[in-house]
Amino acid sequence: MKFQPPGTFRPQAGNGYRLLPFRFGRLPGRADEVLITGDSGRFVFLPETDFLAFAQHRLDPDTSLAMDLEGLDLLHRGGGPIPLERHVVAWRTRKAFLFDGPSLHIFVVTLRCHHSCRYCQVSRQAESDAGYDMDAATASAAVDRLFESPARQLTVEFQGGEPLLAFARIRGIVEDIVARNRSRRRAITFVLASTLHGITGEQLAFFREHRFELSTSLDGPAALHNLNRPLPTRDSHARTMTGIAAARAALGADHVNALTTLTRASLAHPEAIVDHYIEQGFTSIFLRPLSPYGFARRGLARMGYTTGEFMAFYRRALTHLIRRNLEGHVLAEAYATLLLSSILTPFAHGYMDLRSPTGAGLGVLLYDYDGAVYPSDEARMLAAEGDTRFRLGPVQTPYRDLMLSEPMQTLLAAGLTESLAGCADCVFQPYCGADPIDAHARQADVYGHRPTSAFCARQTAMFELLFGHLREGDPDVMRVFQSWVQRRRVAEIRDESPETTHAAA
Amino acid sequence: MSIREVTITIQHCEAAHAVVLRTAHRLSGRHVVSVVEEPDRSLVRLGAATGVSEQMEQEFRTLLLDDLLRARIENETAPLRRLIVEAALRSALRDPGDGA
Ligand code: SF4
Repeated sequence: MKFQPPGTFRPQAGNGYRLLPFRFGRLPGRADEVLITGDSGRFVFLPETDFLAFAQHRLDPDTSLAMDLEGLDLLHRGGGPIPLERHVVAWRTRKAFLFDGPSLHIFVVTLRCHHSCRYCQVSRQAESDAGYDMDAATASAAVDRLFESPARQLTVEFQGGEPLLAFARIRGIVEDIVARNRSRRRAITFVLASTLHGITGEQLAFFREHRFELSTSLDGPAALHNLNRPLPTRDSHARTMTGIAAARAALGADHVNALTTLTRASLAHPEAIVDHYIEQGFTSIFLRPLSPYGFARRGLARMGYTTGEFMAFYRRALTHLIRRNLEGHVLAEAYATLLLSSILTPFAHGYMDLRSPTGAGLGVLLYDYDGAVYPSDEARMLAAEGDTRFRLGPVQTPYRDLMLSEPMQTLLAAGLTESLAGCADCVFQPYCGADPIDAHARQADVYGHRPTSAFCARQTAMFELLFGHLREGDPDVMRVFQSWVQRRRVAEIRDESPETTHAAA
Repeated sequence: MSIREVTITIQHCEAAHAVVLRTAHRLSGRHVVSVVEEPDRSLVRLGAATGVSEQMEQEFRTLLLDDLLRARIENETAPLRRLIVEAALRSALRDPGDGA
């Protein structure tokens, strides 16, 4: 075993403290203040002069500021060894997802769908088209791969098209998984992503028996939802609400979630969309911008918008959400909650799109109806457009070979924010993620170019918005943020600032 | 539309070429950027449709100061960062399933 030289553990002589790894940057409009983020995710704002004194080893180690910075794992005072084990545990905690392998397994059981949504991302086929359903042999091989993956906790998600059009296949796969799991003993959660239109009592009974989580799409009030998701009968919203009511009655409200997709038409209505979710009794809303894939890419010119336009919408929505939560309603914005959890807690979040190393392949495997395996849904959408570079192989390929495949090597090389130009020294790096497939789709380069990346522009704007709130420290806003992170009501949150801002000037 | 251009000379004793490249990369979304390395200096050419040449140079030099500091901090902390990551990965191999 090779030992590190003793100097690695000892403070440098003569200056009284040693710097621990951190990054720094500035928020817009606060040029004289520096945001510092440590590798453990803890952060602090310092006035420029204090920051320079700290970074240039001119800080008196006996000051309260030096002690505060030591408490935040940004420096180590005195001559004793650095408590390496503490930093190792912190790093492992933030990267816990890395040690599990793929935990999300997506089964695309059919491409058929009864909708023709304006922004559809999945190359849907008409409801009656033959040849777009997963066959039994493909399904069985996909279950083989599922159990080859090392994760103890697995999520099995059924997608389409409209997966309910292939309910018999879903039933077959679930029964196969349950039977095999008697000896494999994994913790398995089943998820169905569906419009819920026409969901039957038999289907609901089955989903209840297997404790499914149901996820549907609700774009806002009826006029907006029907505009985005046209049906010949023009009653998509009414059908969705009927499906949600039936699903809640059968499974319980906690097991039925909704996602919203935002088109250009949505951007004028942030308050109405938020209020609609509250009226319909949801406790979470995910304000997702359009993504550059599949039909969505072709419709982007008509329905798309700039990052600036999206952020103007998002700011209004967040302000309204905060107000409504303070009034006693419970509705968290899912994306802000993910980022805040990463900023305010030591833990890793489970969100695949914001991981480093990338969640594509390492966290997700997708089994397409035709037997192809992809590292993410986005990779499948690109393949539907003719770009198959991220196809890992046929579903009969053993897990190990899929993970060692050429596309995975590409994703691994480009999927680490710690080493990507622009990300490596970005102050938001500890909370952000790499998405080489998205970079390829948007910029034709898996490594991406951060200064012109729409993904980076949105991430930067989101972080600046949230850190701006954290810096201001408005007690009401902090209580709402904490209630989202802790999944409690605002009234249950004590009036306290996050401890990580405590050393702020 | 006329393009404003400015050429900035950074001696290697002021900033290493790798640091100059980082700063130039930051501005590559807003400006047309080219960087040339000569034996004793880096030459940075910035071009933009809008903006004042002096301001472009000043902005570059301000960003460069931050990047110089980043390089110094990285230099000082990189061995410890590597040690932590190596130890974390080694411990994960030793105790698989003990994620956190
Ligand atoms: S994507 Fe942008 S915001 Fe995220 S770490 Fe990279 S540079 Fe920072």
